[in-house]
Amino acid sequence: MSAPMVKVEQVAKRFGEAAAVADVSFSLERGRFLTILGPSGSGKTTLLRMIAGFIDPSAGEIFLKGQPVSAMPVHKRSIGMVFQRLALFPHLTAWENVAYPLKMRRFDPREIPDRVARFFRIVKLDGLEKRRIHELSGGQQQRVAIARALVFEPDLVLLDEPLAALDRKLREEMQVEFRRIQLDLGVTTINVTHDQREALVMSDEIMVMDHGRMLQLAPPAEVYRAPANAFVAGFLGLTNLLRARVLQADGSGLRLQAGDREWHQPMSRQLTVQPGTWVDCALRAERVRIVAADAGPGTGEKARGEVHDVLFEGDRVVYEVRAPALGDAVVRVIDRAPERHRLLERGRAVCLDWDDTDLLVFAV
Amino acid sequence: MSRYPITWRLLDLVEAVAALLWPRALHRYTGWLLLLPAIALVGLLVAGLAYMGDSSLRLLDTETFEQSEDYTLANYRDLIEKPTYFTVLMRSTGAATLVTVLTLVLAFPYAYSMVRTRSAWRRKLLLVSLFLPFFIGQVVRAYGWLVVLGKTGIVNTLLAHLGLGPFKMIYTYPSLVFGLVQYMLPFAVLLIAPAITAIDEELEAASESLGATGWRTLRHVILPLAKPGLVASAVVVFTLTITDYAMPVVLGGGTNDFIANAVYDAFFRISDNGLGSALALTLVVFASTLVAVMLGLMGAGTLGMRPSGRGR
Repeated sequence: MSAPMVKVEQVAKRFGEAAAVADVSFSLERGRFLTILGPSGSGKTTLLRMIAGFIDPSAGEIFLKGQPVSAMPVHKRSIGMVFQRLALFPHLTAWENVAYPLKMRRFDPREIPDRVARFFRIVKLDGLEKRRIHELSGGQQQRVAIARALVFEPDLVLLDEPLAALDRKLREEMQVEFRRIQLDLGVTTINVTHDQREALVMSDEIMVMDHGRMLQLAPPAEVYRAPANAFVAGFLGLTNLLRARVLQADGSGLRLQAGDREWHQPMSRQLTVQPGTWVDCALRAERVRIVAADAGPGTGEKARGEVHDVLFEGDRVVYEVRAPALGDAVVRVIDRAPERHRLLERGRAVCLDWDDTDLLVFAV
Repeated sequence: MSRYPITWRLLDLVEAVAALLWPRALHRYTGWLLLLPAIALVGLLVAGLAYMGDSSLRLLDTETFEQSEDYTLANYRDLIEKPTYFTVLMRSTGAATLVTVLTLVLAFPYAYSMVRTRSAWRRKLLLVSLFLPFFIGQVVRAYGWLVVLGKTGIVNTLLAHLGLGPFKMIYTYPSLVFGLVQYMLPFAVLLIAPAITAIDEELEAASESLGATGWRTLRHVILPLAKPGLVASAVVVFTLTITDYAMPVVLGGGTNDFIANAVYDAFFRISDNGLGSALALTLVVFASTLVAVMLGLMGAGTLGMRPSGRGR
């Protein structure tokens, strides 16, 4: 059993009084793709820059292949990085940019042309080697930056939100493309992003961060289906968050109250809360069913409300429903098959329904 | 509601006056109008040069102290035949080269740390110490060095207390070079600093993460990208030095004259306008040629001008 490619042990970073990263530990096996997901200011970039070596941790240790690296300068670490603003060298050609790390790492000069050519093919840029950086499109520059970070076959590749500046279509293409290259080469990768879709699409594992803390580390499906807390639930997907009061707690579940509504919430997992305290309820927008109130009986009903806003997005419709019974909360509902029935217009009285198991309860 | 800003009102007034003085019909000639002062200035300079050219071709009559009527190349022959002038020219060129190299070597790290420091205080301190000498003026500064480095100056007095010296530190070639470098440093730093500011710091981080040590990053990334600033400051320092007058007078002590000193002597000591003009024109041609060669080697594009024929 060899050591994991990356191991981060109780790493923290303080800038003066403020803790940018607090006590983060995780390890990543060879060939895995980890995405650190969090809002801006969550400490994700600081964590990435500590792994790269640009920032020294205030506490803890980082291991690469089992070796502690805090005393190792950046240029000695076998880490390729794709920077947020790409940081391609404007005075060099695309070819020279990609060959740069090979020259700096003293590869055999006879080997360099073949290797550079191979990576130009991998990122599908062959033929553009002689171009200057400013003669390439945004997407092409992106590919040069990726080739440059991969060409010396580092142990680890770090992506510092390099795709954020691209337009949506190109960004989604590059996500798929990079994942393909990453799997082909089997290179261990850590990606930083605030784009939840990117995290879900690309990763083997997602680490959600907020305020410098690691909130959850799990495969994408698990982070989505079983979020560790209300923040994670709210950060991924379109989620309704509702504060409720605990009236009664026993082995079978909780008796909860929100606004005028009181209900019994069966619990699939253990949650120790005292009666009288508050809990956060998270409900995915796509798990809510919506029907017009005058459509007649046929479905159950958890709450009534009035359509407050309708966002037609083509393949889906998002309704914002004001529910007086839930303390005047606005419940967002996703209808994924809008072509099968008429759109509900603004002001329409509707019934909302969901399965008890789709309502996730977290201690506050 | 906010009020219409007073500065806008003033600008409107200025525009109204401008419209009266320069009616709309003339607008397509605005570019020429703006060029006019520059053309006038350069024209004056050209006229002066032509006058000097004429003067340089006339010989001084030592009896009457008047210039000859007919043209002769005698003054230029003098320049070539008398070894003193060649020595002076070579001394100026050599000193200018040496001062340029030393100044750039010292100015680059100064500019770099001034631009890259994270501490606002350190940046202010570096900026203030850079500008302070500007307020003193070249001649006063040169005399200042006499006070510090002279035979009974501060340094020799201190050394005497230690039982050393006195050392001859002024009226020597090294002291002249020292004074010139000290004088040129702020110019060079101010020209290099913007070039370094223009380099994205992330490029240095990228270079490091790609395996380059600090030195190799300097060599392969920072210096090539700072080239416009380096070339600009090299040209400025070189031309200011090769044409300098005050430093050789004060710190050179009469034994380390530059061309400008020889020009001065010709005009005002021996009143030979012809010889002075010939010397001055030689300096103009010589220095311009060197600068042209310098820019040719480095490429004018390095001065941040648009490279020709590579439009996108």
